Amino acid sequence: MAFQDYIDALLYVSMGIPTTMSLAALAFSIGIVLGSLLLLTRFFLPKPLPWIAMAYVEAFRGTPLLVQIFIIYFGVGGYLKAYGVNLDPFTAGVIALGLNSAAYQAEIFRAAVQAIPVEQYLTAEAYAFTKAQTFRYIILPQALRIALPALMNELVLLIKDSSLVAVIGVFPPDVFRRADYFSASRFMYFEAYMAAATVYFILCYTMVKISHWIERRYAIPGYLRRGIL
Amino acid sequence: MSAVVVENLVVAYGDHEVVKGVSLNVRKGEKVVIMGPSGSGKSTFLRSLIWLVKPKQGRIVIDGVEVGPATLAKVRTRVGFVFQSYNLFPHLRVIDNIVLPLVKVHKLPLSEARERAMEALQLVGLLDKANAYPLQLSGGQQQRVAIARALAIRPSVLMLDEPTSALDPELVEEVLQVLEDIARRGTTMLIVTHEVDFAEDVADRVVFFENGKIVEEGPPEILYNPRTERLRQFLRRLHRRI
Repeated sequence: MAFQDYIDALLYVSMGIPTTMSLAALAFSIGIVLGSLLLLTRFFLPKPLPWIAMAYVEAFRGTPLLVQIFIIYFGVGGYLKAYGVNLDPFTAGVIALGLNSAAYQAEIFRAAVQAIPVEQYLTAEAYAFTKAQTFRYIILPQALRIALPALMNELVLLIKDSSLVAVIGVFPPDVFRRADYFSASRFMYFEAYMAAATVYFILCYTMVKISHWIERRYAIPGYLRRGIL
Repeated sequence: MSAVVVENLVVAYGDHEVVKGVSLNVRKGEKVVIMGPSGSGKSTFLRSLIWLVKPKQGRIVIDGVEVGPATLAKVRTRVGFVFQSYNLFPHLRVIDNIVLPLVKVHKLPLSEARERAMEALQLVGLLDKANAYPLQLSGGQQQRVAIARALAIRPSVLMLDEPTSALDPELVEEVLQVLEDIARRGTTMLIVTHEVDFAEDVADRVVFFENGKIVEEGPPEILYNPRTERLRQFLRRLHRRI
């Protein structure tokens, strides 16, 4: 392995960072909105809507992301084409990643809400807070803090999983697809994919560091167990 | 005039009856201490008065309002409730713990709510902790904040569910001192506690629960001179523990 080739590969695949990060960020945003809606559906809406929300979560959790991407791009995209709507790979990728992430984020939110001691609800009740006020002022601020590490983990997973979208030919090419191009044109597989791995690692590790910073920034004073992080 | 009227209250968890037909009349300004062994239903009784546990049957009137689905929110705004485990909101500063119900439920303007909160904090001797977070405080301090939160809503009745049971022995005293101060101000109080000395000093009446029923009630003197063998036995055990 020539070090210079690795550097070349690194520079080349780095150009895919904007696409990779856009895929991850947009999917994450869809995931937050849809995940929260799933959670609210589950806790607040009348039956059978909570069951539908639960079925959604299980469907997306129980099938491979790659299959979901193919269903959205080739399957749904194919039908849409019949109506003259063109679903490009980037949009299809964002939708597939977003719908998938929503299922996981709904579970993250559920776990966070359920981690809050029942006494908090009881106290809110005793002081005549409405259900909505209890959620907004007492449960949500605590739940978000509990959910934060898992949410940031989900974002890291999305950054890595966005590489799956390369297989439907996302344009402009993401980090992984650019690694494909590089390896194919120079026949330098090791350098190309090591470069891709390096870039993903740097992106993810940065997110982890940012996550730790946010956790500390918003930690409830007195709650922080110093020396663990 | 009665602050709390309870008639034939029955509370059950599923088929298991925990409170089995209790009646109690608390006058305005009266301090009633409820004692009894674990599992005797005293905490459940107190909680059920504002439907934190919904009673199976019976009638409850608090501050002249009969407790029911339509009046529940209104009744709860007139009761200050203090829990055994303080139950402060950990993500809010001490002052905001007190301000939140005043602003969101009692609809006070923020400035007035803050004033009232500071007054309440002064009463429990924690003015200097207004900007601290609950988990930075000791258990005794947290419970005093919880008492301040209850007082700030200017309740018609203050209900305290074993307010010192979760505290280290050394921290119990500071909380009882605060409660004695409050008692002297004429607040109507319903207190579940095992603190015999406190009951003697503060209570107008002691109510002894056993197996979901009131088996003995009377002035604090019954704590020296129990009429029933059951209370005598309970007190003997309590004294031995101390």
